[in-house]
Amino acid sequence: MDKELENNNIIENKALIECKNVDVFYANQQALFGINLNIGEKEVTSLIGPSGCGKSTFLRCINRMNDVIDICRVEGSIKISNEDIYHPDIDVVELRSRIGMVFQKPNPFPKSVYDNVAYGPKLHGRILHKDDLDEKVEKSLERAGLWSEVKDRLSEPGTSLSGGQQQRLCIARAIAIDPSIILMDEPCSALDPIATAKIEELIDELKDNFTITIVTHSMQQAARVSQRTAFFHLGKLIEVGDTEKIFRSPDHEQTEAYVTGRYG
Amino acid sequence: MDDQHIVTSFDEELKDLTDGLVSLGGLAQLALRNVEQSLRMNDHNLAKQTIEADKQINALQVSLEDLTFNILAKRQPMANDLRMVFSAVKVSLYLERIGDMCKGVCKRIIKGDLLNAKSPNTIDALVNLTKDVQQSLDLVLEDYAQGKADHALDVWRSDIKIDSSYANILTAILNDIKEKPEAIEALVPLFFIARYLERIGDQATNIAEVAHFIVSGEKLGDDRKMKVEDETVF
Amino acid sequence: MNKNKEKLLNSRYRAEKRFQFYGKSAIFLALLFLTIFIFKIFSTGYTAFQKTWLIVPVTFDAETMYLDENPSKEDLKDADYFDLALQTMFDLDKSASEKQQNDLKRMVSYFFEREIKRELLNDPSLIGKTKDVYLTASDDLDQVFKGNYPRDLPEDQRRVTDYQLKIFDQLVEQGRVESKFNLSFFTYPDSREAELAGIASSFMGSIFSILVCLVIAFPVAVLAAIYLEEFAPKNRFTDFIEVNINNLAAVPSIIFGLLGLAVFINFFGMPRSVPLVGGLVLSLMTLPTIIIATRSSLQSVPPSIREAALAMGASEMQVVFQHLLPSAMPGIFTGTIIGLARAFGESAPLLLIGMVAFIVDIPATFTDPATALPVQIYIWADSPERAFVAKTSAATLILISLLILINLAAVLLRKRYEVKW
Repeated sequence: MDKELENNNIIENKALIECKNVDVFYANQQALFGINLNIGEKEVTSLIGPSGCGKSTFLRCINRMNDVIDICRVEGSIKISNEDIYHPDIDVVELRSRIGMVFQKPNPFPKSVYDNVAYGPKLHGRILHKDDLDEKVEKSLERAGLWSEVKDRLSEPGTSLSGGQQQRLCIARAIAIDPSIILMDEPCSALDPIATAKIEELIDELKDNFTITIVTHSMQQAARVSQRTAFFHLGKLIEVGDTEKIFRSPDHEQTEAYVTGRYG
Repeated sequence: MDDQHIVTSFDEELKDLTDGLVSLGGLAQLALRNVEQSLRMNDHNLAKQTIEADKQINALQVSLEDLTFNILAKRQPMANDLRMVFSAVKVSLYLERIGDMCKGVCKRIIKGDLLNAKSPNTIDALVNLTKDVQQSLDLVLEDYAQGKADHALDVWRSDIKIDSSYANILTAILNDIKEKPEAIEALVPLFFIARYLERIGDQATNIAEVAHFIVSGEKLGDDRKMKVEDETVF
Repeated sequence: MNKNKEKLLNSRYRAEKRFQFYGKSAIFLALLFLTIFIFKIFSTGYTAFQKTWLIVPVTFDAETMYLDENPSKEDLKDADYFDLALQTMFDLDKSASEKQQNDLKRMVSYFFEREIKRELLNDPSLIGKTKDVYLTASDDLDQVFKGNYPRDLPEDQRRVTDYQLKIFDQLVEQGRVESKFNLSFFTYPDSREAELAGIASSFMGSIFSILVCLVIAFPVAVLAAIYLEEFAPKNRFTDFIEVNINNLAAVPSIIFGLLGLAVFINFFGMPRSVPLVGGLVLSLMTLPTIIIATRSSLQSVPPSIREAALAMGASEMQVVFQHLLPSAMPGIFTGTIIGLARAFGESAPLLLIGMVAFIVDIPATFTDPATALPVQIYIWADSPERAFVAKTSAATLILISLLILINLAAVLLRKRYEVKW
């Protein structure tokens, strides 16, 4: 039985993001080669692989953040809920309002904590009354596990928080716009172990309501937080499957070499 | 393992673990050979030595356990490394149990009075049983040392043979007791010896399962374990 | 090898000490020169802040003013004060000859008529009475009183006659000469008469010019910088533009004056010597400075902020105006203020567009003829009267103080609004 096909069939029913033959070029250099990957709804998928293998590039294709790089060209098809997101009629700004992104280095805006979280809903004109906005901010901060720590400091600048708190603020900011997908690009790599643990706990809670794709350079973190894992190497997708399988007995030698630390 | 880890001390630790298990296996094999010889020759001295040598087996098992513990904490092994390290604990326990059981057999040999067992056939059968178990253990340890699982299925199958030999021996002993009830004191230890040998066979089968898991990442099913219905307990 | 290492270490310490010494002495030298400069200017100029008044009794004789008994306020306003004024001065020495009377007349400024009139209008009941009135002393007497005058030169080599000196000394003895703070320096426009000259006209001219400069240069420069930095495609053409903008910042300011003359005055026919044109020329000069400051501030906003905003679904315009610009504002303000400070102190381009004329009225609109403070300094520096020496230095002091204030404002603003990442 072809295991790959079996896996894909299983999630065909509930794949939220479908990528077919995705190629990405930076000017003349190809960064991703024919990626075929489906990301399931309301679960955590992690992208692992050595540095420069293209996992961040792939992540940024999903919310078209690669558009801001002039020399970057994306080919192939990426569909979210069966909608081709690279279609000329698609409004990139509207697309990004449905997808939240958290970056490697926490980057809260130089505004107050409240304004950071309120920015998204205000920007997209979703919430107009102050009371509703207050409620939204509180709810988002609570879901991000930050409310109790900042409820008395809402008017202080976002940058006055600790690193771990800032990252949770960024997560709160992202979920305030009620995205269907949250993309995380190595969200814990700048944080200490305790802050990392809090974020992992948060991811676990969030997966019930959001589809999360996380790029991580830690196989252990992928094992802890994700249900499916995709391994990238030199721009190619080598293997994708249930996380437990990947860390118990991966199919491909390259995958095994990477996760066991024989090749980084 | 083909490739080197980036961290060479990880490779060294894995090698220590494998070598340790191979040594432990060797000690178990030695104990089993001594048991076979003691049975055949009714050699009480050899039996005593074997009992004494069990301490070494226990000590080695404990040190391998510690090593495994450290590797798990320090290296967070994955995939084949994880399977191997995780299984090492089980394998070391199985081998240690084999040592214990050999010790048990030797104790029965010393305590019992085999020359007066009045059933040389049974003794022969026991010796043959020991030989069969030895063969299984040798095969399975050879596989394990090479990181293969080629003989796993063979060992599985031969376990059935061992179990049926065991059943036959039990029946024979029961018959002997019925015929010569006065020799019961000499015959009862034979039950225990047979039981121990059968269980050593089980341990070898367990090791075969583990070898298979390490290589393939899959576990063999339970349905192949046979139940011995007419097991009597003294 | 330890010895070698020690030797190297020691020579490094010595080199560092030498470097520190050079640095400190450079700073010391700069401060020294600055102190000498300020001291010199101050010592030359401080006297301009004092004005000498002659306290002269005035008899408000209605007949001399050709008024009837009980004149109304209107009558007082329209009356002719010239004869009264002359009479006041001649009364200082009732035995003066005609030539001496001429001398007497020239002992006060020609505002003396106005000053007497103002006194009467303030208190119409003075008609028929005598009162001591403060009259501005002439510039030469002013210098005499301040001790700047070479009294011992032969009479035909000086402008103050012996007779004038005699009367003056008498007045001094009578306590009728006073030196007070020279408010008129700040409130009077320029004048040929040194004692009456003030910086009001040039100051207002500068203010108007700078306002025009600010209103034009700031929005144009900031928007141009935003476009070049954020929206323009990166190709050879935009590189070319960037190089040119950087070069423009270093172009001698007089070139802008030539440009202003050729384009604004000759081609567009705009009036000469008005703050509007002056401001236009200054804005051309200030544009590159503000553009460079704005671009640099925009570039110093961490790209992570931009990424975060884009990922939240902000459009490019929203990213620029809601995130980049607010964060870059402190830097932009600093650059603008520095650019304006430079423009405030420029004279060359304004000279070329004619803002060097002699202006006696304080400009009230952007199209009234005006001059600027630095240009005023240039004009006064050229004038022969001794009093103008002090005034030139005084005006320079004022200009420097204003520049210091503006730059201080820039520093404080930057400190206050500096965003810490």
